[in-house]
Amino acid sequence: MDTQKRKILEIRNLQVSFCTTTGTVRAIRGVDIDLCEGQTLAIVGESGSGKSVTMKSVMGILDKNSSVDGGTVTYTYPAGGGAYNTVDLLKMSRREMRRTINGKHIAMIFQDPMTSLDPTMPIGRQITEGMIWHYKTPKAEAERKAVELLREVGLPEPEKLMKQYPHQLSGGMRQRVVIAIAIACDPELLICDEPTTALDVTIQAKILEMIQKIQKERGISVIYITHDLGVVAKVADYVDVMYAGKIVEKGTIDEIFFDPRHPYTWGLLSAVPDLDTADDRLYTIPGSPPDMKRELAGDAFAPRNIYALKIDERAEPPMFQVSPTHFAATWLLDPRAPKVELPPELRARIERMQKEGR
Amino acid sequence: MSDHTAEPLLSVKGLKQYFRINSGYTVRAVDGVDFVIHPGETYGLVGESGSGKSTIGRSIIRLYDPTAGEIRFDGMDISGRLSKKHDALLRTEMQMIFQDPMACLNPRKKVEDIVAQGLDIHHICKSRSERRDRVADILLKVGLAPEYAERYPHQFSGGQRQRVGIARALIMDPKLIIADECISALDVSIQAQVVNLMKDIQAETGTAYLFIAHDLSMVKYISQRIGVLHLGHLVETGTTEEIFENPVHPYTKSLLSAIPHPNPRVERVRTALSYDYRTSGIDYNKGTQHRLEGTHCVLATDEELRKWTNA
Amino acid sequence: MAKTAVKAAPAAAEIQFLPDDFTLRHSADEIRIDTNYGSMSFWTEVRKRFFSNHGAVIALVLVLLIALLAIFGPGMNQYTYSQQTLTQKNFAPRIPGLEKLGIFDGDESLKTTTGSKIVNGYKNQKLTDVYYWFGSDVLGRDIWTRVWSGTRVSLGIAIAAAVIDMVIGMSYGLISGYFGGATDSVMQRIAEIVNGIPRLVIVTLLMLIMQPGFWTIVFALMITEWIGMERIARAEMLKLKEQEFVLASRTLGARDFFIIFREILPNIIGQIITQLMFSIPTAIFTEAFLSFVGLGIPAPMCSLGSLISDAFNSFTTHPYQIVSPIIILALLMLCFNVLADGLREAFDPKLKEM
Repeated sequence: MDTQKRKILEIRNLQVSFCTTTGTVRAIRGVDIDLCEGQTLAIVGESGSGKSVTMKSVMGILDKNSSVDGGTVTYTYPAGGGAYNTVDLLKMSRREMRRTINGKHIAMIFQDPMTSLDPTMPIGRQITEGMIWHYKTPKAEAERKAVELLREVGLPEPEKLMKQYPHQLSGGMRQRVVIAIAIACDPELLICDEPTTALDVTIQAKILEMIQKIQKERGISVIYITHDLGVVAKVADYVDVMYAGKIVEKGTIDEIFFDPRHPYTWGLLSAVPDLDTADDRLYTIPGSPPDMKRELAGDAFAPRNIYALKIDERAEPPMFQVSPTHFAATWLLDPRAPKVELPPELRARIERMQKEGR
Repeated sequence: MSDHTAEPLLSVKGLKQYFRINSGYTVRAVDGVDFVIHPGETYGLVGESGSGKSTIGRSIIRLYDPTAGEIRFDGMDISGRLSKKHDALLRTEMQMIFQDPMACLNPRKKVEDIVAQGLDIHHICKSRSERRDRVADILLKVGLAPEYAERYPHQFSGGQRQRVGIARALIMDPKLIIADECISALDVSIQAQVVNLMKDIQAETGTAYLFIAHDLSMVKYISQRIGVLHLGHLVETGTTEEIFENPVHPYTKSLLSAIPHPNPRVERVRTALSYDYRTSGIDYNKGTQHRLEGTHCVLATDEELRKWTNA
Repeated sequence: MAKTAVKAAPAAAEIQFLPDDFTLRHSADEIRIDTNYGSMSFWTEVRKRFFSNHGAVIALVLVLLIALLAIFGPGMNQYTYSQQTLTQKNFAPRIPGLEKLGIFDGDESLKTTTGSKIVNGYKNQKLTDVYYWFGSDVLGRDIWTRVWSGTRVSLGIAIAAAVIDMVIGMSYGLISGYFGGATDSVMQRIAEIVNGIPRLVIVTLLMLIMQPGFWTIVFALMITEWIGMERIARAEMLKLKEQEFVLASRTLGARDFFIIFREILPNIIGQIITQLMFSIPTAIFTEAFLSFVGLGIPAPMCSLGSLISDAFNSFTTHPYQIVSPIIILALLMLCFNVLADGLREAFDPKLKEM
């Protein structure tokens, strides 16, 4: 990370588990994440990877049957007058989180705009609600700010929209309203959980561009949770790849897309059909996402990994460093491991992609 | 591959599907669609939400009764009232795979009973052991161990459930499988597995697919021919190369420009073309299908066609 | 700023490396078949959730206990339910063994105008070997035997009515919900009309036409109580009708009734059983009420309601006569309700699980 930029979020060794009738599930098994001011981080993973749960524990909105078993989530935010406060979010009670952090300093937007908005409340009230609660803004001023926010997120005729209800808007417009609500109290960190998955492809790019514009104008840092590599390619500065509750590879966007080191990342990159692929088959990761109820000794990815080593069955690989910003947790990076090359289709694709950008 | 000179396997002419909500308001989900599918080929039907693509699939397989239009399948007319013989043929030769892996399997039935449902309804197997063997063969073909026939759906992951759904369709040895957004709800790496499986099955059995989806890059990968739907109209259709290399209709162009590339260099500078039907001045009802070349057709009035092909 | 390689856990230092550790484990074609770990079946999970609910388990035990006593209780002593011994009427409860502790020894205190007085019918007639465990009633019949016979009748009527209601209501609701459209409209209007007629009117009319008895009451309950089950069945059907597995059945050519009863019904059996459990206490109470107002079981057969009715007049003078049927009635209703609630939680947990 850049030393000039201030680090605002530092997660160390987060452990979260769920309690179900069929047993305890260790959903997050030791996750480290760093984020600096103004940067965009993308957390990529599939089902069972734990990406949503990680961010929910940052926000303090985990379900009742889950418990945080360990780790720290250190968040730094401006406390006014140039000074900064640093707190461990896991140590705060739910009430404190609601009153001081949620909405005010960290905001989250979710995947489905249909269910993110209250169907019985007009849009204007939903935006002003947070401002009135957190800052005791007088109603008239809050409404004025709401109209400006609607304009900022690119919605036409904001005054008319204030009185409308969510069901009168299209999916893309609703998601813009959700973003307006999120930034209403001027947070410094915005967490977006699959913000474009439920939207049509022609609207996806516009929503992402709008978030980027807001980010630049307000100096917000953004964390994207997604499984869509197109979204990652568009917006992210840094990428963390998660599998089975752990981060298996992290790095800058160029490092992850053009120099991936973990076999799971290879699988993810190859599984997306490229418009220029003339291949007959997509190289794909065999097997299914892990059943988190089972504790496996060793590397959780080993059963699906055709490059697994014998040691993967016994011991989990530690993070190996590839560059100051690029780390991967795979025994293949150990000096004693055999030299394994990228699958040929992936290498051909990376070479093609590198030429494209010129 | 497919034989374009022979009689098409499925031919749809002027299909209309309207839903009457109340006396004042009718939803025109599908408003006059024509296309053909040849034996053994994959036809990709692409559109966004509200385009009517799922409705077309369901009308063809007669989950809805079409409001108007003619559908011919394997030489039979299946758009009107179905005779018993036609009904039986339709229910065996045409199958469907659904979108939601959680909802497409009956939670209270064992996998074996789910997969063998078609065999049971049409009394195809003579004995229980024959039924068991056929189920085991199909499960192996879709990449699941035959022991799983004794399990229940909730014990499987999403991708595995989707494969059970494919097994259920495949065991009937159909000529046409309609895949209604069958990979949209799956993880990226599992999507690739399922799509590879579908391609393998097609190579082995010669089944045709009507692949309904909104993900253009997947559609390009699996289809030989593509149809682009918007608001219930088929605005452009042709082979995959024709559509991707020479899109003519502005909606097709905007859709293609909106496809995300998993390449940071390209993705950051890409701008999508915008297309708003309401303000574009185009009225789909006024256009007719014009054949450009080969199988490439566009919905346009003469004037629009001139504008787009000269521009 | 250069970061040193971050090792995940201190255990990394303790790993003993074997000589062949760093060799490839799989060949490329080995991972062909998908692995799957079986978990519990639906019914096992339901059972587990149910038995972890202590209230429901206690209720179940009590219900079973009462049912056992209803079956074996009347035979436990020498009296029958209609046997009258007019010289031994209105005796207080006397239980061998407990009488030595000073309770249940046949004493009862009567309040007279001159003060309260202890009366003991057994001692007055010098009966040392006669025991009435719950006392005897105004006609000298053993209350213990009558109470358990009455419970048998009440439970029998309630369960018979509830089960028949379930079959009728469920089928009606499923068919109405599945076919929709005009069929549904007509069927629902009929149901609403039947539901609108007051229960008492129907029962009274039935009593005029039919002989009072066990099956008459079952019939009366059946006509009026099926609506609850019908509503539940229809609501569940509407939820499941458009699910993809039903569509899949249709595309495979399944017939309508096959889909209703073999595809959809197994999915809603949980709600049906719960509703069945809830309708039993309603039936028990309705029958008790009818018997209480005299429209129920004819003498000498008894049910809990008729016992309460009989004992109502001597409520102030011989309270023990009314206490036992009331307690059993209350217990039955309470336990069935708690049991049904526990079943509902077991089938459809509110707790969010991954």
